[in-house]
Amino acid sequence: MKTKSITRLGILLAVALVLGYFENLIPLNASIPGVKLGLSNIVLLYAIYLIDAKCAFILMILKVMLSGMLFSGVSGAIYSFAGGLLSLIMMLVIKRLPDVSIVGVSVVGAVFHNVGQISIASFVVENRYIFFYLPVLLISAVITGLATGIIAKYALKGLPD
Amino acid sequence: MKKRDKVIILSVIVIALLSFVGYRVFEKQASETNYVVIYVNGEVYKTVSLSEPQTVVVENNGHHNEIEITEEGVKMLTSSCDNQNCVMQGEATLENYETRILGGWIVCLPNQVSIELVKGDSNEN
Repeated sequence: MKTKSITRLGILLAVALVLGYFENLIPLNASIPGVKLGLSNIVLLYAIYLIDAKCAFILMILKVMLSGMLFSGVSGAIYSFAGGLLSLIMMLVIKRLPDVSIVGVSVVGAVFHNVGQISIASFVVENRYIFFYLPVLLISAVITGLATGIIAKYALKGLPD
Repeated sequence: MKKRDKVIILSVIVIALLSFVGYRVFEKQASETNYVVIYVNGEVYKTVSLSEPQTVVVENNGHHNEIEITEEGVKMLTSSCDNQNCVMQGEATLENYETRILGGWIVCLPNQVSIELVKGDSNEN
């Protein structure tokens, strides 16, 4: 790995962590349990579009581990990892389709992040009834995915690759 | 936004609506009375009728939850979990369970305790 790549990865990781911390300050989670903005997905979108898939995976894993240690604890990290992995795989798949922009990829990422998390939740509490909550999570993923996708679209325009 | 972006967004909304309708259709058959079911580790731990108000204490793998059942509904009084989401989910009552975002549910994921308020037929009009 070149020094430039290491430096870039470090900066992106720091940005992802700060965005993750920042969105914890917005108490969306209190009114709609399990819902957050997903601002740090902007960093993953940057990695997917302007670097490569391998770098995006490294970033996702490090981000989950570090924010687990700093904020959310082990149980939180398991949820984030399930959501993050499924979301990243699906974003990479959808990005390969023609006629899809970064906004669509972002929405898919948000949707599958929530699908991954609710799957783990239903596995943990061993209660399939928890899937009744899926519609709420899907609709909120469309809204947050659109928001972060549009932010990412303009952020990428202003950033060098 | 490109054309397929809109297709993606629309299909997610359609799936969400379908699963919402599906859940309503396959909803559990309500009994005559109003009751609360407490699940621990995915199994029914206790079923309490709203006509017997009480506080239920759940001890599970070192986790501690106190659940208050009143004639109106149910809430998580205290929980030993670190995120306290279950306590913040507030009270599920017969009045608010239709409009409450979690319906009749209160879920504490870290402690693997979930509570469901089931409304009976007898007081529907």
